[in-house]
Amino acid sequence: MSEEFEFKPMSFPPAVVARISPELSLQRHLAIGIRPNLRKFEEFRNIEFNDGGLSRYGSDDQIKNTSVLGSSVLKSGNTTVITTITAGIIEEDLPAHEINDDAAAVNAVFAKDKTDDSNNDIPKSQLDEYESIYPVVEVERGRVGAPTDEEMILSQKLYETFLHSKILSKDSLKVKVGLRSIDSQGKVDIYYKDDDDDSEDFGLGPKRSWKFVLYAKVKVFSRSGPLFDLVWASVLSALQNTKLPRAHIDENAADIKIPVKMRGNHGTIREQYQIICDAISRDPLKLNNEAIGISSNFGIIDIDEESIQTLQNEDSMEIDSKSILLTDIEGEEEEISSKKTISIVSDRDSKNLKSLTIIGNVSNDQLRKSFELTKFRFKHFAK
Amino acid sequence: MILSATERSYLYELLQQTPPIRPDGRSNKQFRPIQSHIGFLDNSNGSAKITLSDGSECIVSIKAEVVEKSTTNELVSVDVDVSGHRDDTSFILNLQSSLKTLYLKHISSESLNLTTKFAYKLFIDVLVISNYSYPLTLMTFTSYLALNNTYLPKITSSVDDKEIEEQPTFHDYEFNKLIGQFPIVFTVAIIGKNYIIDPNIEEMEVSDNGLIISWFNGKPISPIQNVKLNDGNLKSVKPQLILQSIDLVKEVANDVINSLNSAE
Amino acid sequence: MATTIDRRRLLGPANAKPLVFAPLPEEYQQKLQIDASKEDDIESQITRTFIKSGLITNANGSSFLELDGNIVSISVYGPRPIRGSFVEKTTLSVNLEDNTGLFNDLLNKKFCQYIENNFLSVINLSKYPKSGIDIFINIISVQDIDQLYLKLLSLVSDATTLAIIDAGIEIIDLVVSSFDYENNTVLSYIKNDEIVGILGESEDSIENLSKIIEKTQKKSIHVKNALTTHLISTSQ
Repeated sequence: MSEEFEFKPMSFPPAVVARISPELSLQRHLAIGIRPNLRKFEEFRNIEFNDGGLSRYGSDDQIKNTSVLGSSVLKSGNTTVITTITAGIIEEDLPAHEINDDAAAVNAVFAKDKTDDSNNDIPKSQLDEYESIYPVVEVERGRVGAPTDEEMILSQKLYETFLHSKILSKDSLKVKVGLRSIDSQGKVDIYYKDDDDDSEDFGLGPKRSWKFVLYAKVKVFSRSGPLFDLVWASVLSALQNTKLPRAHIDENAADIKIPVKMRGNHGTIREQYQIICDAISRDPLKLNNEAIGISSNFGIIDIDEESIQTLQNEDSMEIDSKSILLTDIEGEEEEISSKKTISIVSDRDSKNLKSLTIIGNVSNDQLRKSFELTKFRFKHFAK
Repeated sequence: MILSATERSYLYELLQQTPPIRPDGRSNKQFRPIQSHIGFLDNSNGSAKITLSDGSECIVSIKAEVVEKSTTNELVSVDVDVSGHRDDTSFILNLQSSLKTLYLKHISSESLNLTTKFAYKLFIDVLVISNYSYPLTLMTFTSYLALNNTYLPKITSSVDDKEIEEQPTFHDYEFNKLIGQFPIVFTVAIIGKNYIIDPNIEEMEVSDNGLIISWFNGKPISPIQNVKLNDGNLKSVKPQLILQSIDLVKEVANDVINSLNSAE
Repeated sequence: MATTIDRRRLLGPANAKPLVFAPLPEEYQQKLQIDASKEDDIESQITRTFIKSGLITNANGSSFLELDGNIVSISVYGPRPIRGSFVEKTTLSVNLEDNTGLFNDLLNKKFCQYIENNFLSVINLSKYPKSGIDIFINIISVQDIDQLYLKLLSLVSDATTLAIIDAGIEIIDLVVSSFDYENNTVLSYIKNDEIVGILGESEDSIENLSKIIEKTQKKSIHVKNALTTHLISTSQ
């Protein structure tokens, strides 16, 4: 008695194949001319954003009691990115000749020519004229603990790309310090020195200056693919609605000298300046709008001839090249299979590149194609 | 897990009886005996130690510092250390948060005031050396004793220093006692329809829910909240039981305060 | 005090000071003033509330809730296997992530403890041995951290109920929380008249607790109706 064994091929529903064999699933999709997420090869996901109303200056008539200065809620596909901008104040280190009045006076007599033109030969475009922001990116994934590699890399890349994009100049972060005084009737006045105002300083003694430091907290929900594009767009949109508060020094504090006992010596004087931000008045953060562009990513998938052959003939599509350029990678299958990637950050009119990352063996044609798509995308974006 | 399934159900049955039969024979409103010492730390402004009958032990040290009122917003700082628990666990932070809310609200800043510019800031350091039951009650009792026996240096310079730029100076050896009322916290365990005060570890293990109720100035006050006395045995509670627990606290609170006050 | 430098995050220069804002002038403060009658009117609060479940696709369950400038998002992960020795009941952990910068450590833990205690008594823990359930609370925006933080807590609790249901975790009953502004107390109920959570932080004595219970219980019935209606309408 002989039993006949029949080998039945196992079959799985598409969702299961996608999990257990993402590469195969992707290849089969591509062979019939569609991506697993049902987008076309060169189709970007839609990006929607709004300010989310999280900022202190949500609308004109209401000020919220929060220190968030700008915000953005971005949605693209299932992914949500929430960015909040906060700030700190730091005292700037000034060169000695600016702090010390004597030195200035001495220079005025002996080094008249030198003091003025010392800045002239430095071109404005130098990197140290620009500032970056300090981003902390968190991708929610149901775990606690130290940041993941992806989070650290995203934060670092944001920081560097932002700095090299020259979007935020040093000047725009200067704190315009006003002075608050209370007159004998108890009326409070705050004086802000305007830019064209040449009047003397408020008698704060030695010159001091302060600047804002901007922090961006970026929270990502429902990650589904590489995040830099979305995070970049989210941070920029939050910065575009960021407003910096005006700040003042309390008149009483302006000349307070607190005796500090130091090594038994009573003579040391410590000056304390408490800088208080105005509850209401603020100025929009000045950004170099021309430098603000978009970031796009591309993945290149080599077509696997074998997996195409497994398809029935009527399903397959004519694919003219051996590799396919996919825009805006989404989903596990595409992300795992994209061994070659291009990431482009450009400025507003896609004239200049701000950042370009190429991984793997990318042909010139593919690179050119991705530039074209970036330009094309920006035109639509601008509308 | 300190109890076997049989022990647990036996104990649970006993505590369900009317009146509840507690393993150490106490009534539902009876505390475990405590032993206290005060003023034994020379370098602190106030100190106290309480030892419970089960070996739980808590030391509180109170230190004071002169601070500028304009730059300090909180005149009481609480630090909690329980042996066997890391500082950043939620258990410690929750104890700390309960104590901090309690003392910030109920230690009057008047009693800490020095001059128009300066005040004392109290640093309450709570150290639980060994701990077998929910330690909050023990901690507040010990802090109560310590606060009640805190002596702050007597100021000799002028109290009104609005126009003068000088720091306050103090008497060489005379002290003023810190005057004021201080809050304490009671722990009540709820088991079935019964409620028992000051549960020990076995009682905690089988309890359905726990409640902490604060007491100040002759009245039950907030914070009032439910606490988990064991891992994963929590059950919901009828509102009536919470109200009855508060009545129980009302019944015993004054006696507790009196006996704490009589501690030497 | 953090003496070690965090090299994993870009936190900016160490000597930068956080912004200190002057208090708002009176005309602005009046707009932010809390209207006690508005806080008591639970029905209109419910109509102002926006709820959405299941937005976060990589969590087992999630919910998003918005009311009066409070925005919270809860994601529930689990029941998922845990490492280590066998446990016969699932372990519950609650984490709160604050995106507003308004929470301190103590308030953070207070929220977590309250939520944990609430749900420990309603989740069928023994149904999920060898596993853990992690609840992540994301605070996105806060109406008033000084006076209405317990209102926020009640919203967090309601949102957590929805997220747990979205995750398909078995619970005894819906946990509904209600907040009493007058006495700064939040209570959480199941089965209409059983308390699973209480946190009172009022300034005065709590002699009137029975009144507070009565009041919040009434409110909670409205909330429960609203949650049930929402669940039925979204399940269709």
